[in-house]
Amino acid sequence: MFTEPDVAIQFLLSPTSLLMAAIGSLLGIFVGAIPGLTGAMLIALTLPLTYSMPSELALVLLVSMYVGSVSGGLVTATLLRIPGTPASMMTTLDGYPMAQRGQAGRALALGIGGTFIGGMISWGFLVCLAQPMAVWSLTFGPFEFFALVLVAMVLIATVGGKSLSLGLFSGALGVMIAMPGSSPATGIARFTFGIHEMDDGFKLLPVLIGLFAVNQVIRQVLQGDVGGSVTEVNDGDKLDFRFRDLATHGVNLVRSALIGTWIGILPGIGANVGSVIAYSAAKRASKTPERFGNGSEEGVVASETANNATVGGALIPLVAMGIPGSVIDAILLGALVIHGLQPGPMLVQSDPLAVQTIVGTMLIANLLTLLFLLASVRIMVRAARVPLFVLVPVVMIFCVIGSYALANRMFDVWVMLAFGVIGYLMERFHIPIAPLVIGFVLAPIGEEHLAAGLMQSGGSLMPMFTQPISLGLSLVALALLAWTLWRRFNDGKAIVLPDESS
Amino acid sequence: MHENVRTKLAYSERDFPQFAAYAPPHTSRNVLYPPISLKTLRWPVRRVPWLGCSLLLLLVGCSDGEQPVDAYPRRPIKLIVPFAAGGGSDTFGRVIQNAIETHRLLPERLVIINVPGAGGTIGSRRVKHARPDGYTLLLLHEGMLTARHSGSAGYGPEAFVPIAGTGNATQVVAVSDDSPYSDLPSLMREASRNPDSIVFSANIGAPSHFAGLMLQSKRPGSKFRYTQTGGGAKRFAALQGGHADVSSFSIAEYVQFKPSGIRALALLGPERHPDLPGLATAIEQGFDVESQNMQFWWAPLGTPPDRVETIADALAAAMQTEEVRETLAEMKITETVLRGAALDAELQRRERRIAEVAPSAGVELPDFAMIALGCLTLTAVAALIRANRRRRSGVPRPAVDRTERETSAQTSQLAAIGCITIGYVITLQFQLVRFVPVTAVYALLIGGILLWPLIQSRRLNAAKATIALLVVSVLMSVVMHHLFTEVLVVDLP
Repeated sequence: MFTEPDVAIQFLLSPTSLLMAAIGSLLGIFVGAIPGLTGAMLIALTLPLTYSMPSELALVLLVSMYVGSVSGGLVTATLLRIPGTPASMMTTLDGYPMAQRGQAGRALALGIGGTFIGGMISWGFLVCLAQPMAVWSLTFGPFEFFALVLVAMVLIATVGGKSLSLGLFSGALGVMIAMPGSSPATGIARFTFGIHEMDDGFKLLPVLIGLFAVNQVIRQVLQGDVGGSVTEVNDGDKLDFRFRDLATHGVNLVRSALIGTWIGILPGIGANVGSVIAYSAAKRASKTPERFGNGSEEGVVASETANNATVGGALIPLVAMGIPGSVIDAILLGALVIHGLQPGPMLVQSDPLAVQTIVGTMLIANLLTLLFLLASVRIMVRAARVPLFVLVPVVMIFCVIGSYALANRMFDVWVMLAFGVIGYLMERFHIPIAPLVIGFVLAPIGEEHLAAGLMQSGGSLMPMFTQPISLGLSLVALALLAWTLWRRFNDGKAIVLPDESS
Repeated sequence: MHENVRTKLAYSERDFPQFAAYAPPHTSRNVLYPPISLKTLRWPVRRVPWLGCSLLLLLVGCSDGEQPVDAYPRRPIKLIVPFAAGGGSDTFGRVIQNAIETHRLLPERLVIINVPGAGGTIGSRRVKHARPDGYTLLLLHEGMLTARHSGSAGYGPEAFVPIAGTGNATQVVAVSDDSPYSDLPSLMREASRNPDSIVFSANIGAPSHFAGLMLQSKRPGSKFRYTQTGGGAKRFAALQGGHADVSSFSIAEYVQFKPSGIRALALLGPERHPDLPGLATAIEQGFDVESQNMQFWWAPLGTPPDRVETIADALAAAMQTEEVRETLAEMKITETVLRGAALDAELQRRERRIAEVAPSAGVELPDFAMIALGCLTLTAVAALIRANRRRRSGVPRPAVDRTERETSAQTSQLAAIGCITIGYVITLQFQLVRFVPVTAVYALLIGGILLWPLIQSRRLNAAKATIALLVVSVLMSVVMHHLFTEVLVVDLP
């Protein structure tokens, strides 16, 4: 992968791609800071704009948006107690009390530092692990891949949400939504109800734009403007960096970054879960756990380091195997396909430039995000107050035109609107959306591999249990499911995690 | 590998000259704080929605009808490419489009519109139903011929007027480097000695699949075991990982993957290829099989013959230009052009070859859709039981979030926005009004609905807010229209 990086470096350092990275991270930061908008929504809405760009440039834009959007939430979380993205939820617990005590600058400095270091550590893992993982998974046959998809589905359904049954239901719904249209194995249309526009089923982009953007618009309209109702905090003091932070928070930084990266690698689980787990780990390891929730520096560091570290972690399975590590990675996977790249273990060989671009962009975007965060803290607090009457028309027009542009047809626009309503209803009844997205993305991948395996073995499912890797993975999937069930029925209390979706 | 990266980069820049001029939307920042200093201006805010409606009516009245057409072409021609932007067909189409534009081979622009999906049938169906006036064309390769035989469409080439066939990409049959087969006869001997044992990695229903089917039809008793793998890179991975024994690739793909460990057994063309002089054709090795992928240009049935001729002339001229020939050489595509009777004969010949080998049923696959439906029902029942039990055991049921400050006023706002949105999409669907005015009115209306209560409760400066909304609406509609039609070449209604 990194044998001939000169082309990629040249490309990444060209003015156009640097400009794209800057625009991407800046937009990402702002969208991360604005409570109504999320990174998933930004990337889904930007994807149509990249159709005519060269694929590498599109990747630069989208990946830097990803990095920026995970980082931007910390400012509003600290100053306004609104987590701009769900990933910053844990930051509000300690950042806001600190800001109330007059330590806003200190809290922001710690958060920004943690963001950067978390991003860099996970980038290191991305560089080291992507290539060996891709090489290792090259030996994967169809059954192995199918088993991997199974593990991913079980993971997202069991670990992601509050309720196991609702998580599984959401995942199954996602799989079902992927069924209409041409079968990925034989190309023959099914479940189209005689509507020829359905021959290709529901496409990823309209479904995602509906689930994330339209759904969010509905919720925002029902909630009304939130901007004015929050206590203001004096954000006038300077960012307060101290060099000995590296020593005092060193262990916490590394631990949170490792947790974040690992959670990121696990398919289907994103930044929110990473920051929750790192936060609780930091609390458990802390000498002063009672300060957590009342303005603990360690809490801010743990949360922000981990949520950014998930980005690099989640890119690893995407780049190496074509399996999305989070909801945003599912969109990036769609972006690769739309741009004519074939995700999978082959990507590193067939399109090394694309892989190098993704990896390099993450580094550049991390640096740019650090810069922009340092420079634009105050503007962001104002941006978080965009009135709804401006936000809603802009987002809705983007939604309509973005879904239409995918295939130049109105059918996708109707699909998008329908999924907006479905997404809203699901969240209202506390059904997590993330399993649906992952199920929807993974179902065709899993089906194609299972069908290929069956065609290869002459219809026998036995190779699944005779080959060591697929057997191991299937056992992991089974054990995960059994363990979760056992825990739920025995303890009666589940690990409560915030919804991955919004 | 290094070389490939360079060529790819070179391609993308050459194919997309508009990329240099690409300006990403700064709209979100500009519209948030529009530069307004006219504080004293009082706008009749109350009338905003009515103003919008009257504007809409005005524009409906003004939208001009169809112009009389005598000379052809008088407006841009839409070329439907039924695959995603960036793919092989799209790249080919854009190479030709560029040549037509730079050499002014047609007086009007050729606009490429990607309508991907379902192996090209979504796009081809759209052209089939388009008005046969020569302003909607289709670029679709062998997929047109194979679609009916693989069951993905109920029609074939007879539902269109063929304009021309351009370029010919030959396929090769290849195995991995350590394979025991040294040539085609040895492979086919094994395939007939142990039928259904050699795994042929293919994209089911696509040319790679038909290549295998044609080969086995030439030696009675032989049979490959086909497995669905997908595109060229995936088929290469399957060979390299030992999950398949043999597959077929286009020459361009083969040249790319060859250094990484695959070996061609035969070329499926009528004669040897200049870039691979050492590779014998299947015909030389005793198997009368040809599998070539040609890009065909189609018009809807009933298109006037003189218009078909005009397009065919432009295509033939474009194929002769220097840059097209260079690019095609890089893509290992021959610069053949077929039209008229030669085209009809070639189409018939190819369709006959494909029809001879009806795809074998292969393995009976489980009905995944039904399994998915079963899983969904099962989990739904489980979720319901769980919710029910939780309610009975007195655990507070988190059914509906009550923290949201929902009021009836906001619900009716939402209902109004929903209705207007549906109205907006219907207007676009049936192209009642042009995109820019209807979008501006739409933005004004839903912005107005959200703005109205705020003005009423005097929570913000009415004049400033209204102007902001107006600026946003106009900017959004005009900028979006420009961005998508001019820069991204989307066929907006």
